[in-house]
Amino acid sequence: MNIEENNEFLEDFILEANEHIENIEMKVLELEKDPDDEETVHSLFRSFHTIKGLAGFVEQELVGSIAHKTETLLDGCRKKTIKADKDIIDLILISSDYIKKICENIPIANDPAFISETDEHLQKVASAEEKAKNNLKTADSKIGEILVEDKKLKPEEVEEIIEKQKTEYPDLKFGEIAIKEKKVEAKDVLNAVRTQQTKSNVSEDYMRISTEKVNTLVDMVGELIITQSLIEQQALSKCDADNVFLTNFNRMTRITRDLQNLAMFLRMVPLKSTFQKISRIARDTINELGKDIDFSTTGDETEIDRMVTEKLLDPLVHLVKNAISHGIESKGTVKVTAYNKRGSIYIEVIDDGQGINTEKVYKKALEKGLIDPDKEYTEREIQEFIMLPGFSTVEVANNISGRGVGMDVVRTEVQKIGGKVEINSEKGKGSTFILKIPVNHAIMNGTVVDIEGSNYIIPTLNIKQIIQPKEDQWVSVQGTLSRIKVRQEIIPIISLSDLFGMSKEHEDPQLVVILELEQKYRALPVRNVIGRQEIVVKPVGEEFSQLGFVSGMSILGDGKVSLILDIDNIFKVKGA
Amino acid sequence: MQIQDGKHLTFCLGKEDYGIPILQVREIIGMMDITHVPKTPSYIKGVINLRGKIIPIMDLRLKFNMNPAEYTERTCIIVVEVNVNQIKKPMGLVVDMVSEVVNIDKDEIEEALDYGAKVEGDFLTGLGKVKDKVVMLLEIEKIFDNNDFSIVFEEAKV
Repeated sequence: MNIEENNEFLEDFILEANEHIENIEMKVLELEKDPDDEETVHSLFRSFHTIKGLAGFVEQELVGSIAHKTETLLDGCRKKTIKADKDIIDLILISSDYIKKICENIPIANDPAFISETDEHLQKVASAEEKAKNNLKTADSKIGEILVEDKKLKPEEVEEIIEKQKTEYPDLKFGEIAIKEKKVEAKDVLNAVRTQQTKSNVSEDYMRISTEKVNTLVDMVGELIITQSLIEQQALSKCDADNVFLTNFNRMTRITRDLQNLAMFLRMVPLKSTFQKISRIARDTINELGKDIDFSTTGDETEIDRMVTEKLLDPLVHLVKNAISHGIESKGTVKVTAYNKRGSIYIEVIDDGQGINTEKVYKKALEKGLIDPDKEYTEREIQEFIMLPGFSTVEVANNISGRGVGMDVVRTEVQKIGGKVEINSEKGKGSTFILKIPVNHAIMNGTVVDIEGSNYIIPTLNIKQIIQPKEDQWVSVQGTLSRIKVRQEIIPIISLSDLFGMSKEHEDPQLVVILELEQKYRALPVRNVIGRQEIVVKPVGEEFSQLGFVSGMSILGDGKVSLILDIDNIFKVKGA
Repeated sequence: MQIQDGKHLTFCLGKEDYGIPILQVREIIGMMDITHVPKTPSYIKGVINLRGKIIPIMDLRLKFNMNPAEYTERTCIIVVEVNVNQIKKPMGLVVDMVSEVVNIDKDEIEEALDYGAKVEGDFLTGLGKVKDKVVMLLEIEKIFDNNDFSIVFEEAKV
């Protein structure tokens, strides 16, 4: 095998091994919750087994031997000769960690110190296996359970058979004894075994595609849609409504729209793997601190744009670590839950600890000169101080609550992906941190408006209404129009200087768009409303990332680029 | 500063001739609709749609503090690839006119240091002699330098 080929194989090996490690980490946590779940043990066994096979192929002997020994241990669990208690689970996790380390850094497999470290671990694995074997010998009762379900056996008969297995026929399987004792017929046992096998063989068929390819596809579909709307405009101006061409064209439009949805869907992944990583880190943190915390996650099937999941991990890890190290004093629960509501994904990190100590937070913020000492703040406002830059209640950054990264980083990271952070904390009852993230980064319904001769896009979700104000609705303060009266509401007007830092003001605005965000309103005068459409959002390039008023860009039907206004920012600009 | 010899794309700004390494040129396109982006320096003309990709456009005349010129038939956008933090990003440069691709040998390049050119010495890697003309050789990364980005940022923050 030449070197190049070898490298390629090695890359494949690392990729695949990592996938299995991910599976192992997830399954181990499941096993911890339900040590008797055979399917979990099988899955773990298969993962180690596959890694062993792969390692043999690329001549990674150390990985092979770690996988082999661990596999033997799991085989014991599988045959019920070993009980999967906490010690065993720890050993499995350590094994997967060693394999992970080697995958991250192949040369380490030749480092003598590392080898002796793994050797020591493997000896522990071997001795654990020995010990467990002597400890326990339970009969295979699962076949019995299936037979009971099938009404072929009574529960007490199952126990009878297990008893017999322990005393009279130690070498026979449950089913064999059952037949021998004439409790059931052979075909019933056969059926039961089949049921058992089908239960464990359900797996979906997957294909691995590089993110780049998917992104290119999404981009190209985006272009297809744009080109199509160009053709559509031409066609509409040239053809009659009942033209066959138009009918066919409409059919194509439907297909491309489906294609677009599908392409977008390709980038959506479940939060599962993010939650796995978090569970693993949470488990380690809890062990390290020696606290009695029950950590759980729900809603890991919630799907979210892949790009977003990557950026979400760090903030979530930080929040979870915070909850474990600061939120809970010694005993409690920490829960991470995700759900989908009205076009957004919500992820909550909930603890039932002491809640945020607002007095302490206020003092600290005051000390650091982050707040106005003369102003009175509500409880809620004080809670939000912890997200101010430069605020951190822990004097020395420790290993647990992160590398000195504060809550302000969590907030900015979440803001970068278009989301926001809310805090709900009650003294003595616990805290909830809520991350609200837009579901799909790439597509939204936008309303195109003309502001001073340029087209801008406003997310339609944020538009309450569009009005054509009468003369007496405008409210002028010191010569400039600053408010508008809509029924009983007096709504502040966003001026061009507020928005774009322009020195001139709206000239002759015909219409006013009433923007809504969390029950607050702002009025944005526009010259015209061009239309409403599904738009493909492109992220703002790095070079413009500091421009607050734009949240993204999009290419409209005429091929021109339009900027998408950042509504959150607009509300911040004018006294929110 | 390292002298870059080899093939260069030359173009004009008024009466001045400039050159950039051909390897960094992705394509040359005619003038197209540019979407203005508020709160950016005047030399950032805005963004365009280049076959589905959105790229920023800089007017080199304005960047070099020269008088603005009307855009004509001959005005071009040179799409270059710039290394920003190790990532290659396409950016557009508006120039008066693209001239030709020339090969400039090392011994035909003079160092730029002592020349009081209008372009701040920073952008230049050298002065190339081509036939009877002098071509100012630009280092693109310096034009779009991090420094320069931060100028965009600071002005944008105001």
